[in-house]
Amino acid sequence: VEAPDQTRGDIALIDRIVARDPSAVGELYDRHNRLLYGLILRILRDRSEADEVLQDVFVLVWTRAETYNAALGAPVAWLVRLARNRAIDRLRANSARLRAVESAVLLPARGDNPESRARQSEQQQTVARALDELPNDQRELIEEAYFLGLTQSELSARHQLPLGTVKTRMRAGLQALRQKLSKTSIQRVASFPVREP
Amino acid sequence: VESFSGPRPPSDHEAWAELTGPYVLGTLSSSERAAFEAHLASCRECADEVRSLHDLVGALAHGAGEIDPSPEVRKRILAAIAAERTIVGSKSAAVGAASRSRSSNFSGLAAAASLAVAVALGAYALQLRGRVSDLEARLNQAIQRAALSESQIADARRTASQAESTVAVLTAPDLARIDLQGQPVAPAAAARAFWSRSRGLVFSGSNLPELPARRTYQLWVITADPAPIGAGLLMPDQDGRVTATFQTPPAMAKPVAMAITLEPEGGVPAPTGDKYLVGLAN
Repeated sequence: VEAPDQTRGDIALIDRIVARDPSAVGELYDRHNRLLYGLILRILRDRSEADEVLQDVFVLVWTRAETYNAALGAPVAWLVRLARNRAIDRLRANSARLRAVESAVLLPARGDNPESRARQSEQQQTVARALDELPNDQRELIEEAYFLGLTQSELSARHQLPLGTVKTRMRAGLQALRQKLSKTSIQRVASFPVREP
Repeated sequence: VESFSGPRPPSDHEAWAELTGPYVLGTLSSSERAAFEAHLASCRECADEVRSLHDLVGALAHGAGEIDPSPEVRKRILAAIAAERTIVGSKSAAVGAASRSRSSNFSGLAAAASLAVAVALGAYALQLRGRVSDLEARLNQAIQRAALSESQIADARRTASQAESTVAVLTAPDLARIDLQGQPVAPAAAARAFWSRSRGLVFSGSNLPELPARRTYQLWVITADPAPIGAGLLMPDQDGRVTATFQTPPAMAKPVAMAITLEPEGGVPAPTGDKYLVGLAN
């Protein structure tokens, strides 16, 4: 859970970036690079591509910090959104998409390796555990939508399920996930308005 | 033109509610998304659900695990920003201004589209919103690409001008040379510096150890004056090589020695760190 102190600190850094202080980008990077890189790597499964996307994200932060809107959530949520959208755009744009979709079938559903698992914070473990506890058919749909950027129709074709079933399962899965996470202290981890750059 | 054959408001709330999950997960097509966003504007229940799911979906990022990126990424980001700042600062301000006026144009359009919904031009307004948000996304991409190519042009221009000044120093009639030897912390390191009172200083080093995080190499020129003069900062490449050209004040006394020390990022006014390379003038 991101403490209010950390959110305040992040907002102060964004203000400095808007005021054209480049060292604030370095500080913001130091705070969040591992979370964002874990997410981007999970999506792209290629370290050098993930490095590039992470770089893009922070150059974007430098050029577009004034578009951050505190009313829509904490800075970390904005960063997560930028990173996820950039990574999915990249995945869609290149042949890595096919590769990732194929390897997702072969690899364990949780893409992280023992190296990262060992270093997971309590919060990450909570999220991972909650996902683990979901019925497989619900968890797969949610993970493939979020980490592979597959649309409903793509999910329906991939799993040979009627579109209605995809929608219902996804919804049931999200509701179950919310229930599991609301029992723990995880709340407002990252407010997540969809779409925009 | 994409058409959306989903639920029609307000007859089937349940059907709309089913789209909240796909919406926050970003799996709707752009026309579906536009239609759903229009529904959100009039349905408090769905809007609350979406807000709550946003937080939840954001938490998924934390489920991916934290992993260290390559240490190069941080350097590349700061270098890209520094290049943009020093060389195309004024242009990027212009891009910023353009982007600001763009968003106000677009919010104007969006407002116009909302008004159209209000006066029941329903379907047409929805299409228009979808197109506006598509266009906005494409414009954003174009602006980002423009900013990127500007920084590439700036990089190229800087490289060319560096090469020019290097040649100018090396062909100077008053050229002096100082060879620098690796010190105990970096026995394999070696470097050569060329100095011309009229044209400046060229430094070329090899086998410099990789910089620790937040440290930089700093070049010092030692003259008859007691205080060493900081000539500039050096960032070796992955192979430990670096070539750089520096201006020196015309009034500077003839160098008697040069040294490279390891210093905090950004450099310091007087040397504090270990000496990596030292060389005496002949």
